[in-house]
Amino acid sequence: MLFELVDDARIASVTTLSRDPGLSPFHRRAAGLPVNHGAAEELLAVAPDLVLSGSGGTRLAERLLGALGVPVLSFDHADSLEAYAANLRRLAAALGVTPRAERLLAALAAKLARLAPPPGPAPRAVVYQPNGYVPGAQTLMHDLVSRAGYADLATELGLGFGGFVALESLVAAHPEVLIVSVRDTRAPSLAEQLLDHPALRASTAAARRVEVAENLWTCAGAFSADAVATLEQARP
Amino acid sequence: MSTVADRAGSRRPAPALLLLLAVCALLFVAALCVGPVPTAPLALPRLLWGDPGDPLSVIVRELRLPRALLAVLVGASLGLSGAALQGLLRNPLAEPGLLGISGCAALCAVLVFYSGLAGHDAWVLPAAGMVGAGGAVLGLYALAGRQASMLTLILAGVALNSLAAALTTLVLNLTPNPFAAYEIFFWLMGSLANRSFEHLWLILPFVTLGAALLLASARGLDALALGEDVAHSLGTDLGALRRRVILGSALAVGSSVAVTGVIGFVGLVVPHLVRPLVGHRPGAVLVLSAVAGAALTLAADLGTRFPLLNGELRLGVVTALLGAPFFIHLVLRSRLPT
Repeated sequence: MLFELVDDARIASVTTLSRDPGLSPFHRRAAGLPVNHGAAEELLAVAPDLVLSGSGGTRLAERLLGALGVPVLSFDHADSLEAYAANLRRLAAALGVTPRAERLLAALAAKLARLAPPPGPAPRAVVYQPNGYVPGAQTLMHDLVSRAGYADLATELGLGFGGFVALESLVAAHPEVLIVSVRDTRAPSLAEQLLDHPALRASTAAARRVEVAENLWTCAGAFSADAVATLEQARP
Repeated sequence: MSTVADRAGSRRPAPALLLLLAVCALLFVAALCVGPVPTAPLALPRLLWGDPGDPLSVIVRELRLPRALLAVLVGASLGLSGAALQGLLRNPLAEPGLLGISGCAALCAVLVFYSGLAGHDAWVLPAAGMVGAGGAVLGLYALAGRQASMLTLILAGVALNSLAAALTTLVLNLTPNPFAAYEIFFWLMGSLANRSFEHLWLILPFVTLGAALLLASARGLDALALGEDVAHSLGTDLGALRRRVILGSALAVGSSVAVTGVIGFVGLVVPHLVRPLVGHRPGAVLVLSAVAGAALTLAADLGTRFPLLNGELRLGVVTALLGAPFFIHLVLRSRLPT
């Protein structure tokens, strides 16, 4: 969110995670900025006016900073675009750039409106992650998949935040569309190899396999519209 | 062959073999039926040969069938190799898992898989496993010597095993892929889950060749059981016998471990279980150990399918739960004066 709202000059330090091309669409900008690992010492060293933290952040460091008088603004991970909009408005107010946030959100809403799914039955889809993880109904991925006009099987499978679904159970649920995240990796793993299992190819032969770049939909942002667009174009 | 066995005062292996084959067949059918989506045994023919688009059919054909066939192949490799090694080393505790042969195979497989080398050509992965397994046996001989006592050999195996496990963990920790570190369980504890026909075809030629080499050493192992001098006077080429068992084990166990990870104790338990059925001729124990190894691995793999909170049990966990008490029993027995 910070990358979307301010220029690099106003950013004192960013988390190392933002440099990971698999997670962050802003990894190029992050590569030119100082990084931290969420440790209080590192943050104090760059003397920021404000520290932003996520719910996945290091709570201890947060408390320490609070005790030392550095203001900390904490955000929950956005599990939908509504939650993202609320987070963005709160951050923009703290930074004094509310008009810029409103412009971003208006552009996002306009893009999403153009992508509104046509009437008719929604194809049954499932997001299948490495190791057989299926993100649940209370996740950003579910929100984006639903916006693109799919019926997400995560709801049918009774997954709240998500869970591991055996390949057998997935084949039995018979999805029409299989959605997988792709990231550029030269280091293979068994977890990712699972997504190429012949059983998956055999069961979704008639259906489609849709690939979304992992960094487009792991976190919410104005770029989330691109993830929805990718999904929408691939809809049968 | 049975006349020789009769003359030697041993029981006939044929009825025992038939019994074990029947058990194996039953377990195989069970392996096709049991899973998160239960299947009736009577529906199997339709699912195996009927409409390939049916989801249940995909489950049985593409998931459970290769898994069951791999269990047979890998279990037979482990049983056969355990029986041959126990005969060659004349050590009741010899086994690919305990001696670190499987561990070293896993280490080499991990090295080529996570470095991306295995992606170049399919055979690289089983080849690495075989190199690791073969290297481990040679390393054992170098560490313990040819005339090693039971204890020295097992200690050398323990050393090799812990070194291989530590290096496997290190390699996985150094891999940039975020999922790799969690896959240590697969490599150290083995699994047949989500394996496919690709894995089966990959190791089938190597396992077949290795098994043939091990079975061909039956006569030599029988002679060796009478002592090295007697074996020599019977015309057994001990060097050739040793090379056959080592190469056979490396081919069969090394390629198996490369696609399933380390599955311990099968090779240890199985020869001891079948020995009372055929008397104590190492050569006769070989075939039965192969079939019993397949049956035990099928049974253990069925055991992994009990629904748990966090997915499946690991195959190596089940075989260790069965095998470790047996190992303790062997240790206790070896303490008693005989």
